[in-house]
Amino acid sequence: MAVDRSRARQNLMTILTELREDWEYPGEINDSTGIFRDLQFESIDAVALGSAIEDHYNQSLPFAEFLMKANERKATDITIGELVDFLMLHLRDAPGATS
Amino acid sequence: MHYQTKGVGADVVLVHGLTSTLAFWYNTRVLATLSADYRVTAYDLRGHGYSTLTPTGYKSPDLAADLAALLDHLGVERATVIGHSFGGSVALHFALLYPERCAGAVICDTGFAALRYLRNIDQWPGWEIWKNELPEYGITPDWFYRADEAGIKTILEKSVNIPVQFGLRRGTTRDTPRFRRLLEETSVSTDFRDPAGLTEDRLADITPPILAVYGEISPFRNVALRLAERLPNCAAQIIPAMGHFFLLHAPEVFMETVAPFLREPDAYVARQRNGTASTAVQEGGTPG
Repeated sequence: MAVDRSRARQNLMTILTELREDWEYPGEINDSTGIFRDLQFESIDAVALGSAIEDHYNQSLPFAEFLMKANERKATDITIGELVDFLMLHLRDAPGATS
Repeated sequence: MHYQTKGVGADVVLVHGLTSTLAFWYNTRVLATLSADYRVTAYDLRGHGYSTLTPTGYKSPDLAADLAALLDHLGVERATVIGHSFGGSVALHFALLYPERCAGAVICDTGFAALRYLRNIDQWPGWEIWKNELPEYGITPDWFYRADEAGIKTILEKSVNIPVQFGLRRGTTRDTPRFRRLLEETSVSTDFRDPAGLTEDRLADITPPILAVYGEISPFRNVALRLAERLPNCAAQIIPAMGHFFLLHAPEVFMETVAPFLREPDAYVARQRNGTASTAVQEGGTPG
């Protein structure tokens, strides 16, 4: 069963909200929203997000590699769309992946 | 306490510097690279990142006790500790207080409160750049020369205006709620300047093998020489043309430098000390 993109996106939003309980972001969050520039993440929040995603799906993901590659190509943000792309690429067909 | 463990093998623990977090070890690739051969644990120091913030307890022996407690929690008997900057004070204090639990320590460009007098701002090439740029952020050279309590606190407070230099957040502000809380609600800015028992005399009592890795153009470069002289079981390596943040600028050189030490800390230091003059200092980055 393929991973559903809108489901992956919805799960990501749930994880983000749980990660930052005190979080207030006034704008609409869409695929071009950046976690550092728009959502005011610090590096450690991105690391914690990776752990939270792994916990949610109960599988190990190359999230550290993903962050480092973004850094090495001189990116200055990671968007929600890129995070969903990452999930679509790496989530295996596990019970947690589609629920 | 917030930590992450990756990989399988002998235990290595990574200790970040003041106002940093375990994300430092992501940005430097150290966590990813070492976890191919070791079980690597990176954690957020007390009050930093996702670890609990307390009003006090930021002196290096307090933080070394936190590290020992983390090892207890993980069921780890003995580990090699790598500390960057102030994290190196924690690592060396851990080696002093818990020698039986310290398989070795890598000290990365740590200033050490007791060795503050060795810091050389004027001969530090980086200072030529910074002394012209820092006034723009309200930091004037006299604060560095004084380096008293008020001076350090002011530098830390003003430094929040300097944009982030590295990583995905570069160009954005350092002035985050987390940074503010650490600075304003804790004793960290006075605690980190306190030798708290790690005096120059006590260096002779530190028995675990120590590798001191310093940047050639770091203001703390002379500390490497002093550590190699005073510690009974220490070798020093100087990373050419690099400053305080060689871990960010030249992570691959750092990894090559520490790899033989991590494999056999005692044998490595013995080899270095036998192979060179009394100071056991290697210039050139990659050991033979």
